[in-house]
Order: sequence, then C-alpha cells, then structure tokens
Amino acid sequence: MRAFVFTDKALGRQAGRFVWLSINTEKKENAALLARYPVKVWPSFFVIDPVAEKVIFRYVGGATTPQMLRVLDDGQKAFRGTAGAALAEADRLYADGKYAEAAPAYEKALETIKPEAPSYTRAVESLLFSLSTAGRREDCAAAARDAYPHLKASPSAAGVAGSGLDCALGMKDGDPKKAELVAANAAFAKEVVAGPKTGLAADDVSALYGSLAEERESARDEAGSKKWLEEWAAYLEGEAAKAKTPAERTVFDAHRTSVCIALGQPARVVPALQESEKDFPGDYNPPQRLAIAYGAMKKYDEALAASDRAMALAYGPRKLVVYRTRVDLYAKKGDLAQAKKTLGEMLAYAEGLPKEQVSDRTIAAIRKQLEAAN
Amino acid sequence: MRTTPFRAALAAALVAAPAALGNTPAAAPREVLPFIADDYPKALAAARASGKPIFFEAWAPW
Repeated sequence: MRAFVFTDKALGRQAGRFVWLSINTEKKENAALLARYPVKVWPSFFVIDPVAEKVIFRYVGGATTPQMLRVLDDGQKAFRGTAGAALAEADRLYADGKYAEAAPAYEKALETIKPEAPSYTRAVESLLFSLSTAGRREDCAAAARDAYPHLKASPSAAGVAGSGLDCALGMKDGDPKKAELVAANAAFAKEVVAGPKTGLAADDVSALYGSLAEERESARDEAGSKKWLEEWAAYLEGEAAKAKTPAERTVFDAHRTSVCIALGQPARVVPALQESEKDFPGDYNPPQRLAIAYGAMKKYDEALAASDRAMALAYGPRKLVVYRTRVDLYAKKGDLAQAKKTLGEMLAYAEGLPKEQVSDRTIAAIRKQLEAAN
Repeated sequence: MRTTPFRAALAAALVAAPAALGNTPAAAPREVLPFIADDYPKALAAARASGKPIFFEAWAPW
C-alpha cells in the first residue's frame, strides 16, 4: 500500500477531503490509541468522526488505487450521512466491528444494490469479510460464487475469488456442499491467475496462488500443490523484477521467503533478501527473513548472525517473532540451553509490552513453553 | 481487500502473514497525501478545526 498506492499521484487530488493520520501500530506510544481504535487486520483504514471520536467507516486489507478512491468516496458519504440507509446501517455495524450483525445487514443492502452500482463491490467485499469473520463459511463461499461473475472484470476479482475459495476450504470435511463450493471458487481463482493481472492488487493475486496450492494439498495432490507453489514463486519473482524502486521490490520479500521455503528451495530467496538488507539497513525484516531462510538451509550460524542483526533493529510486538525464530533456531541446532534462555528473554520482553500490544494468551503460551523446557 | 492469509505453506515456513504482501520499510517513498505520522491529538485538532473527518491508516512495518 505505502509503496504503490499512497505514492500514486492519482490520490494527490484527494488531499483536501480528510485529515490524514498514519499510525504505526508497533510503536509503544501508540498503544493507548489502539485501545480506543482496536486493529485486528493490517493494514486497516478507518474514517473517524472527530467530534464523537468514533469510527464511522472501516476498510481492511490492501487495495489498488481505484479501490482506495472508492473507499474514500464511501468514507466521506458515511461522514456526511449520504449513503443509502441499508448500506449505511451495514457499514455502521462493520465500523463497530460487529461482524455477525453486519453480515445480514450487508445481505439486506445487497438486495437493492445492483452489480453496476459504485457501492456494489465494496458491499460484497465487506459482506465476505463479515461472513468469514463470523464463521459463516458456507454462506461466504456461496456469496463469493454468486458475486464473482459480476466482478470478474474488476480489481476485486482476485479478492472475491480468493475469499470464496478460502471460505470453502474452511468448511468442515464431510459437508455435502463443500466440494461444489470449493470447485466453483477454485475455477474462478484459476481464471484470475490465468488472465491479465493488470489492475489487480498484487496482494490478492499472491494470496490466490496460495489458496490454489492449499486446495490441491487438501485434495492430497502433492504434485498439483507444488505446481501452484512454483507458479506462485514465479509470479512474485516477476513482480519483484518489474519493481521501479527498492521499496516496491521489497514488499514481495515476505511471500517469496515463504514460498521458496515451502518449495524446499530456501537458497532461492537469499540474494533478494541480501539486496533488501543492503537497501534498507534500518529495517529488521530482511535480516529476520534471512534468519528464517538460513535456518531452513540448516545454516544455523549464519541464521543466528542474521537474527542478531534483526534483534538490534526490531521493536514493538513484532520483536516477539524475532525471539520466536531464535528459539527455533537454537532448538534445531541442538542448543537447548540457549533456546531456553532465549525463551526466558522472550517472556520478559512480552511482559514488558503494553497490554494493548500483547494478549494474555500469548504471554501464557510463552510461559507454558518455558515451563515445559525446565 | 483480501484478508485471509494463505495458510499451509506459510505455517510451515514460520513466516507470519499479514493481510498485505508487506509494507514499505524505513526509507519510505514520498507519499502524495499529507499524512500526520503517529500524532492523533494533532490530527484530531486539525479535523475539528476544519470540520473534516480523519482518515486513519493503521499499518505496521512488516
């Protein structure tokens, strides 16, 4: 988002519509604000009424520039109270994080919103997220199946197909409708990745390859899953090669690391991560990913050296991930004493975080693991 | 706006997956919108003075 969308000159003309606030949720000084405006998905975007200090509109996940322009329009309508009544009610519940109640409200709103209407796409996306979050996976998969034909030529095609496929895959095995819904949404997903991807959010396309690999894995088709992982890696490498700036290129690092490791080819991503570490010496992510890649290569000394560099740069709740990686590296190296010592350091760090940035469950899990190591 | 992270491959790889691919690192390219960084009181005061709503971006350096 920050590398591609908020640098797009097409958004510059929107500057006067809002007061723009960016909050890094990892920073300790923002913890109290997160108690007022909880964030569960990154990135998240809120429109806030400054008088009531209340979220009146919410959008979660990545977006392309056209999608963000739509979000800004709809957010402003919510502030002015000019959205249609049914959609406004659904958006209000969604903004409050009441997804179980927002889902039927969106279903009702969509009864009167035609697919060609400007608000249709976002209403469908919000419905799918609400259904998924509320655990109504069959309804989510069915809604995506029904909406996709209307959205197949839009920037939302990948997201809708992917959400539908993920919901279908999340249905219980043995559910008589699961196979049909998986097949329908998988067909849409394949259509998206086989077609032109111009205008689609790279996040959505990337996640779609992952869902297709998972679909094959769930069918116990190892070769089929590997084929999708290979295509996924090739897609990400191609997108990274097209990047105009190091910042645009490095956003693909996380998924590239994961896919290469899943393929059993961790060395494949190392040069890209080394390049990112050189380009962004203040960012903990490249050395953290290098630690994971080297660990997968069983090069534990190189992995721990990279982890040292990441630890020196990391802050906030994500530093727990750096600790977690170090614990795993020491354990795999066979140095259980250091693994235990690092777990102790991780627990102390977690206990020192503001309560808004770490859950009691996370702290309890670390403590339990440490007790098991004693 | 896909928010469900792919699961199986990533779980094996120990890489936490946010909704988006990743975010811009420390040396961010120049944004075209006048974001106020990490200063809610300043944004709130500006919004109240101008009568505009706040557009709030919650992000993390992943």
